[in-house]
Amino acid sequence: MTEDETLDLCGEKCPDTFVYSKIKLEELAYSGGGVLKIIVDYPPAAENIPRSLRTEKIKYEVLEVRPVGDRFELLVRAPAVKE
Amino acid sequence: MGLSLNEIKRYSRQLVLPDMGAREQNRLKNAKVAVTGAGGLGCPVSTYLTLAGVGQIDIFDMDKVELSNFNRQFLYTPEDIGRPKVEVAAERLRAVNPEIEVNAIDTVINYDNAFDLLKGYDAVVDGTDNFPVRYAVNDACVVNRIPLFHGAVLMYEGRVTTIIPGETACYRCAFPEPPPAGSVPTCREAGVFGAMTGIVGSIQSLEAIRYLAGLEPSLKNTLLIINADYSIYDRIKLRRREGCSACGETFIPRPVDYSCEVPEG
Repeated sequence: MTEDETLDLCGEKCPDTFVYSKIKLEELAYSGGGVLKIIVDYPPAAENIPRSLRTEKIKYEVLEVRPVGDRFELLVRAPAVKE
Repeated sequence: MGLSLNEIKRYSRQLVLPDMGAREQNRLKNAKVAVTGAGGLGCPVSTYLTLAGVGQIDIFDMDKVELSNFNRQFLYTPEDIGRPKVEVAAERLRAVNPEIEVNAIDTVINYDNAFDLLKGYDAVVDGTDNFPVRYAVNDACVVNRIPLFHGAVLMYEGRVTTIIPGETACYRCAFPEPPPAGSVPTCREAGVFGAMTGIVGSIQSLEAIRYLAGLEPSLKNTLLIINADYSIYDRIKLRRREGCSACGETFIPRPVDYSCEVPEG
């Protein structure tokens, strides 16, 4: 699975990691959908982002969460949503 | 989606809410709201609209700051005594949120000018303290088809309802006539707890914010009554009244021509 866009959130902590992810995913969803790669270096965010996304109205799909060195990469699919 | 990094940070704690997002925040940013009254209700209402990021807030009032305001009107300080409330309120709110526009409109609202003054707004939040103005604001909102977020406090009781013209009951549907002159104690006789105006104003602003963001307000066709004595929250169902002089088939102008203050504060 390859991403359509990447969001580097290294240096950010929760809940900002989620806020930025949510805004970016929403943007993707309203512009036809796609897969976003989110990079975080704050370990709790790797768990918190997927958990928080589950409560969203838009049904995001977390495809993968993988550790890469001291970072985590999350792949999330945003469905296409109409205005 | 049109939000700056600064705005995302500023509003992050509401953007994380499942119902909210950039789209909803942008709706707030593009909204233009009138707040009638800068007193006990106007203070919490205009403050929370400001904090939430409503793009343009016009505050209407003609009073000057007095010492007796201070048990409930938290936007003012003793140094402001004698200054127009709207001017001080706008200054404070602009300082709190420089991203939005706050306008001070130092004017009387009455039945002759309400229809023109309250035009072109996305919502009106009413914090007026007397029946003639309250009915004028209702009629102007109904005629101009502007959602009206009503609130009032009388001694230990607070009331809130959300009026969407053409869809819900209006204030006149619920209260076709004002109480007889003299039957309602004046502000000075009745008194008011600041915390009660805080509760009522906060609920009004929450309703308005939800509506403006595109979410469903909770108090449509519902009069919420809050009793400070027993902490009772009562919901009374409202229905559109056939033949209502404001929102019925034919609008009939009916100014309330007596002066009867109620303690909005």
